[in-house]
Amino acid sequence: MRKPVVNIEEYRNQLKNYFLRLTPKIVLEELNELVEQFTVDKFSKKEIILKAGEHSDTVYFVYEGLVRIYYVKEDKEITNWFIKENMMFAATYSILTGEPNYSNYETLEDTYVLKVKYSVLESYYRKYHSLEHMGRKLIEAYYGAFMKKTFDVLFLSADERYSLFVKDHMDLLNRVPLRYIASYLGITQETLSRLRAKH
Amino acid sequence: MKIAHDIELYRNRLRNLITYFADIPAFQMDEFLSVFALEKYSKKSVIIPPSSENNKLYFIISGLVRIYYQAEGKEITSDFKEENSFFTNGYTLFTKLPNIDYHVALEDTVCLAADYKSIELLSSKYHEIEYLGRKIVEKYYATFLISNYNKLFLSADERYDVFIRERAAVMNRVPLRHIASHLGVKPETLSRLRAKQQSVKI
Repeated sequence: MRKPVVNIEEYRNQLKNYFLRLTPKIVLEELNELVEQFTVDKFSKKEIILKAGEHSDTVYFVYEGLVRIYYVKEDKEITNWFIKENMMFAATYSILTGEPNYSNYETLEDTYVLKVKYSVLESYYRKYHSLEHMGRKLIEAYYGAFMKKTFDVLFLSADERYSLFVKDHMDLLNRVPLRYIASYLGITQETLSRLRAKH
Repeated sequence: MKIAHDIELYRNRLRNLITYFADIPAFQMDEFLSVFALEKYSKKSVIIPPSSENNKLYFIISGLVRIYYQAEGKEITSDFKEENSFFTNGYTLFTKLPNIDYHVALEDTVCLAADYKSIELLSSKYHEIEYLGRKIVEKYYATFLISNYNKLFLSADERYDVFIRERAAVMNRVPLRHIASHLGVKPETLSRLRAKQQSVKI
């Protein structure tokens, strides 16, 4: 893989802003020390970052690009999440349970990330109180997002789920193949086309 | 008969459980435990209704709580919480959106309860309490992820096996229809699984 031409300070600033939006009261010196632990990595379009069945303890922050998370059930790919700029991802299931992860993480575009081992992240949580707080808020936010997704599938109609997706991820309509969006919304591609025409 | 509740005894129960998660200095632990007060719920009472402003962390001393939601006219049980478990209106707490589910006492239930705000205050005061909070959230998130995994990849048979293995304490205290909806199977299927399991034992 070619070495990415990046300005790492720019990457770290973007990550700092992400953490500050989550917990504004974070101590800046401590945050600076934390983001220095992150290193840059680059993945080409259509590259698998993590495979189902593998263990992973790495936490990623997307600086630029797009990642699709999916699992395979009965030979069908089910798309669970799209992770774009200013979002984090990790094999949380693997990290928290010690079991191999069950999802695949694949780039849909050339993707530039910052990454760090969860154990390193945790050592900074232990070192600084304000980072420990941020760590808890981070996990609460991801727990909440997962619960919300579970309930959205149960309680919203296909129409409502589509509207919500457009509201939150307008840009993804042009960046993601429609079959993945249909799978994410739990609808057929025909239904998706009908919804797109209607809206 | 009136039961005398010894809150110090109950706080000790909570102290013992917390010791598994974190090593907290005694004076911080005492301060933490002091924000918990006794709450009693009679069987069938609703502890947290949908769209609730309830903002407390509960620790169950005795009793049993069922968490469920209604979908397409049916009640779906998402979880049971028994003695020595925590529960909270996690959905609202973590998403800031109105919750959809009910928390209901399936038996007379005694809890220790604390305002989440007072716990947040202690978390910002003491690093160790903040650490404890993260560890508890991580543990509960892991449980949520595992149950999500089981729903996705295990058969009804396997889900039943996991349930009787891990939730034996709950199994005989809960009406079977709630277990069936929790496992995502019809009550008839659950009866068949139970019969199969019992014949294996013989």
